[in-house]
Amino acid sequence: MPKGKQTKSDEIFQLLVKEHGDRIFNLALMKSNQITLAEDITQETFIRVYKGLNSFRNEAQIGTWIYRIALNVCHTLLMKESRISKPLTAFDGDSESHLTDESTNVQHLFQAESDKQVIRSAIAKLPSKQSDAITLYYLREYKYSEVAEIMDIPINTVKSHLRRAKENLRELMEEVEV
Amino acid sequence: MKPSLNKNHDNIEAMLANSWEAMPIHLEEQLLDVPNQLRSQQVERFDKLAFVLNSILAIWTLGLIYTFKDTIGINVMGLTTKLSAVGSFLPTIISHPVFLVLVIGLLGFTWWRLDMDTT
Repeated sequence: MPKGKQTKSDEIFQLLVKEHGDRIFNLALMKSNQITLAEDITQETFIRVYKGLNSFRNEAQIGTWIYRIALNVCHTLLMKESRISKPLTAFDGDSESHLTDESTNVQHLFQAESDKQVIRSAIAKLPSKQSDAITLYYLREYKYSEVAEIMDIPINTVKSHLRRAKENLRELMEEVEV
Repeated sequence: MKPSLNKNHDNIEAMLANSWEAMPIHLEEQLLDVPNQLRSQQVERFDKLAFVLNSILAIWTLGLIYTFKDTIGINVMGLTTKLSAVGSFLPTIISHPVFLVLVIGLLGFTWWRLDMDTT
């Protein structure tokens, strides 16, 4: 629970964390393929969101604004990390509790984790614009217009980035399977 | 909140949907604590700045007093004499209606400012 006196900004901020926190974390995870870096990106994004909240007036566009900040933070921190992708550290909590189940469940779990790893590492290898487009396309519920608005590019350009991203992802994943 | 999967999804979109991870609980707690963290950082920064500025001011004041101690002594003596003369008029000034309006006005303004800070 937050300590101290709560202001109106704090209440709005808490709602934003509840509503967008998971998606921003997944955006960061897909872009970076590292849990610790994804956590840093998510935290830095929400710090910037809180700092800018008082001066932000257009509440209808708040979602777009947050994703723009998140993308900027992703690019900045990924640049700092020089795009060196370390192996993804597995989640400890839920994953470990399932390890005591039957062997088929274990296999299924490992397969699922492996699939996640494959798609994330493939997305991390895509050119920046393509990985932005495909990640946002999924996280913003397949709405081209919202992706275009966040990336500040025309819808047709988004569609072309997405088409190329999907082609590249298929190739990258085929390479992994071979 | 996890995005819902499109009806006409392809295998890439299905893989994206399957790659979803819930945000770790410790991260959510850290995010909710961001306003408090930022506020305490600001207070710490302000405390350090205030300490430095006050130290400079204190040293400067001491220097001024030391340099102009004779002049200050003469002025203080003169002021004391004048204050004792003004002091006899103080009850008349305080009981004046304009003074009362000024005090009430200032109290009202202070209350309004405090109320603004809490909302």
